[in-house]
Amino acid sequence: MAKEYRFTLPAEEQEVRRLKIGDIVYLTGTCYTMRDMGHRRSIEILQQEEALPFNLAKGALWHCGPIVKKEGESWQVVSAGSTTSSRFTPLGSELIRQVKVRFTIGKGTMGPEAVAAMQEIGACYLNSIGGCAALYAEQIKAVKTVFWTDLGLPEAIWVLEVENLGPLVVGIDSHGQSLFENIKKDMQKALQEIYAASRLEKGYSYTYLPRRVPGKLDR
Amino acid sequence: MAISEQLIQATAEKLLTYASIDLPADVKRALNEAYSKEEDPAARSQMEAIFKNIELAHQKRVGLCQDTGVPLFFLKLGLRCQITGDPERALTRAVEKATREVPLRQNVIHPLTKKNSGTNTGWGIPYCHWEVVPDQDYLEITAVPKGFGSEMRAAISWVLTSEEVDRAVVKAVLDIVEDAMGEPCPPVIIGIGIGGFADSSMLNAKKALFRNPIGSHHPDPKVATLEEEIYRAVNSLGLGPIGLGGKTYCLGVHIEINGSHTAVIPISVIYQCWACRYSTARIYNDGRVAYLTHGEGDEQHG
Repeated sequence: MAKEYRFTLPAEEQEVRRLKIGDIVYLTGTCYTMRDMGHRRSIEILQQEEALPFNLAKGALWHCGPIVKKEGESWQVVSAGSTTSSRFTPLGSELIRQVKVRFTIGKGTMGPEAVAAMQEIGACYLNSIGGCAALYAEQIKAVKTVFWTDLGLPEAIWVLEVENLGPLVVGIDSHGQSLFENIKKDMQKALQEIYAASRLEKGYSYTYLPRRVPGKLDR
Repeated sequence: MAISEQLIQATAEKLLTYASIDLPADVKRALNEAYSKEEDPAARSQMEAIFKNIELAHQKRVGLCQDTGVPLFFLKLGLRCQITGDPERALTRAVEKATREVPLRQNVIHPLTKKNSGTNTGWGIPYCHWEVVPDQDYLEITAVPKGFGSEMRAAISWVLTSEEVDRAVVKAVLDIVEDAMGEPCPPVIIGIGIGGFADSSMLNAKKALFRNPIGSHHPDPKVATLEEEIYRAVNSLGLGPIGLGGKTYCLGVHIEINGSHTAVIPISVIYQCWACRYSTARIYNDGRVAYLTHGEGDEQHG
């Protein structure tokens, strides 16, 4: 049975280990946004054995590029929602391991590398609802600061003060479970029935279809 | 009488604002219908959050989704209207102004250097698809802030005419759904272009996304049957409104066709997320502007 939890950030390992896939989570505290270019720069910095300019340890990383506006000297978030997380599986997993990111928030899911990293350090992936950016913006109380605006405003690291950010669904827990993988198994079972009903031959290629994901081919 | 560059810009600004904040009535109706069929309690509460988001964006006049996309315009130019000035310059200025004032997210970068223009314009953006309409005295503008979570799942594949083409279409869509699952922000609309060329099949697929009303069928009964089959198939996978379970994955499957080469047929498939944002107006030669999807009806200028 799914339970509901409220966390104040940063969060300790033993707190996060209690969570199971399907549980509902609300987060309060500091949250950092990061997209493609931010991941790349972060990993480059870590590879040079330097420190990131922001402290993600035990914190929450949000796959998000908000709409922002500047009022006087201060930034305000207008709309903020999640971007597709599978893009960040390779670099995000490395970040989780190296910096001990406790919560990663996004939409869709992250791949097996991330599931393993989260199990290792005691972290979770939290699913938000894609497209609900007006809703989540209500839960952002302030922009504390911003890093790396040279990457463009969507790609910058926005440091946000959030209050009860949610509802977020635990999509990957720290015990190697992935809600998405469970749904995928059910889907694949349903697909076999549909193939039969639709006169589709199993293991037969009807078209030339590009179906490659980026990254190393043995991933 | 003629349609001025200024009027095109002012109209396009309104369309971008409407489109970024409020969904067309048809999309809201389709979401409500899907919700009424949804039984899974988690899926129902996820859809309730979507409705709450739609309401909040409307009340606060803010972007419904943070991904306000790359600006795209579909234009229909009646051959009996006259335009003064440069309509694409008007659309570009409208995008720049909407980016500052709505505001929109600054999404547009140079594809190689990754430099962000900060204005959502540059390097051929906003992208404009022009069509001509004989015997009409209006310019029809549809503004589309197209998000890329759905765009990036688009794919083209090719089927040889020795194969059963309709089976290949079903399989091509199922393959994409199997790969994408909840990522393109369901409940989605799926657009499919069959036949023609590589480019025209994808354009057909994209235009099909904005068929109104959602879920209505192609006039050719063979095409309509295929739409229905794919709609049922993708909704029976248990993916649900955010891909975490439920009935409601897809609001509508829309197919458009073109005559094709006797050897091989392109199949293009593209997604639209539930935040199916677009807004349309017609500017008439006499200065009347009719807003077709949003707003309070007609305006008279000049």
